[in-house]
Amino acid sequence: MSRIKNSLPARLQAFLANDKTRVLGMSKQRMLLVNAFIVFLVANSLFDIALDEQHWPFAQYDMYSDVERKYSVSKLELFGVEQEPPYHEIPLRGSYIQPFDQARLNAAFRRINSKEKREHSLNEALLDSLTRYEQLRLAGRHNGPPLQGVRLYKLRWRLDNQAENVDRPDRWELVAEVERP
Amino acid sequence: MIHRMQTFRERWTRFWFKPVGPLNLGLCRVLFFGAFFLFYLPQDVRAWAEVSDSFWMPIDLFKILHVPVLSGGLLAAIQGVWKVSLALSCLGLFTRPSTVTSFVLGAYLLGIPNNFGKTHHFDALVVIIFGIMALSHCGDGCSLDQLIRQARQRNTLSVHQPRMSGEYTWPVRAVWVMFALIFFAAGLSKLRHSGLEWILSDNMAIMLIQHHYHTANADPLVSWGLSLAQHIWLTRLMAAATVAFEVGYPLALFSRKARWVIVPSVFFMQLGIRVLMGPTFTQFLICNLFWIPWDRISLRFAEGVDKLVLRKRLVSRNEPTKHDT
Repeated sequence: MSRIKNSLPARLQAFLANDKTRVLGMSKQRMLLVNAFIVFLVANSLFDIALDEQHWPFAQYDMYSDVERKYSVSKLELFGVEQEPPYHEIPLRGSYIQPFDQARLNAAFRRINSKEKREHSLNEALLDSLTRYEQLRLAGRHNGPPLQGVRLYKLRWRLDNQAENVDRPDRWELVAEVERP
Repeated sequence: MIHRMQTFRERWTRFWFKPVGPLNLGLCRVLFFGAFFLFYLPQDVRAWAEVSDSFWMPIDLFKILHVPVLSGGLLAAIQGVWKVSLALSCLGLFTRPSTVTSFVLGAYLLGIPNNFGKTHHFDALVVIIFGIMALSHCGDGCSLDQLIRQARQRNTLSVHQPRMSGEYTWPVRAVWVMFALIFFAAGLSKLRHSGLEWILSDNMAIMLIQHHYHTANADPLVSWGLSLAQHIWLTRLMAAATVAFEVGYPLALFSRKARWVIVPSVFFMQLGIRVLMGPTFTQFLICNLFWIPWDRISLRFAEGVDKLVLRKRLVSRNEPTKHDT
């Protein structure tokens, strides 16, 4: 400890040595440590705000900052294909996609889909989603039907004032699909 | 210049280190760790160990430190230790090691999901507060450690009195400042990316409708957002209030009046977002407890109880007994 103290600049050594007042109920070393921590917290936050970046747990909190101009919405969504005829497609959400939530899974597929060599990664991610769905079903974690495959669609809606078309997208575009091996 | 520096230093010291007793910070610790112990108790991160590498998109913290997602068994053990440390931090037993464990393991466990496609901001503030509490002396008040210490000191001649110290001010103020920076950042980000168009266009109306198409981490609780979206002037007013409260949030640090308006308004704004649009801000809502002066509330409560007991005694004294009649 004394070696560390000796290696500090002379002014800082003198400051630390002058520990006669504990007016604030804190030693000077402790005061320095706490001040350094406060500066660390504030500087990290300001850094991310200034550069418009995020370094979790610090961030610029840019969610919903882009303006929406069109009365439409598009997203990637995962559908399961039932094992039994007539092979209905069911949207995979909530307990079907644990531990993901809807927003995280959509974002993950969007990022994978934007890669240059995406085919392999997409297939692997879809197969993983199918396997996890079946594992959760067999473990009794949801009551969904057995699936023979999954499909990833890009969906687009024109917004309805009452959202009555939520189950009837205007455009379906198949991005990728996998079947049970 | 020197005078300005001195004034700044005085103000800095007054803001961060105004001497107070340990009760408020102690009560904040009890409520904060207690609430998050209950919140995280049913949650299980083991499932992330089984997710395919194709989803692995590490955030900087995990990438730079080469932090892996451990096996399910190890994650189960780690989250078990973490939840115990949250409970111990709440009780104030082995407070320093408990709060440090809560922080270190919490940063790891709460960070894991953010490596799979999207960084949610819900837990970020919680991790930062874990760090603040780990460095603070939050176990000096309202804790089992303090009771044990007092019991030990009763056997000796010197009895330790709770002292006034700046040590109990800075952690609460640090949480306030983090709140201010977060909301200021959110407001600034809207203005930076979209300018006044964020307020003056149909943006808010469109967002209110879009969230009924399963786009967020949770769905809206009611369909009122759809009705609100039909009144464009109202949605613009909501957008203007959102940006104003977010950008103006730092005022709550310095003005008591502003604090009374801004903090509850933003609290209800986040509650409104959950109800009308879906995204969950439970963790943020809980962290608001640091804005409440729990020491004053507990003192008033104690005074009220004392008065009640005193009144009861007086009444029972004045009541005629059977012998009197």
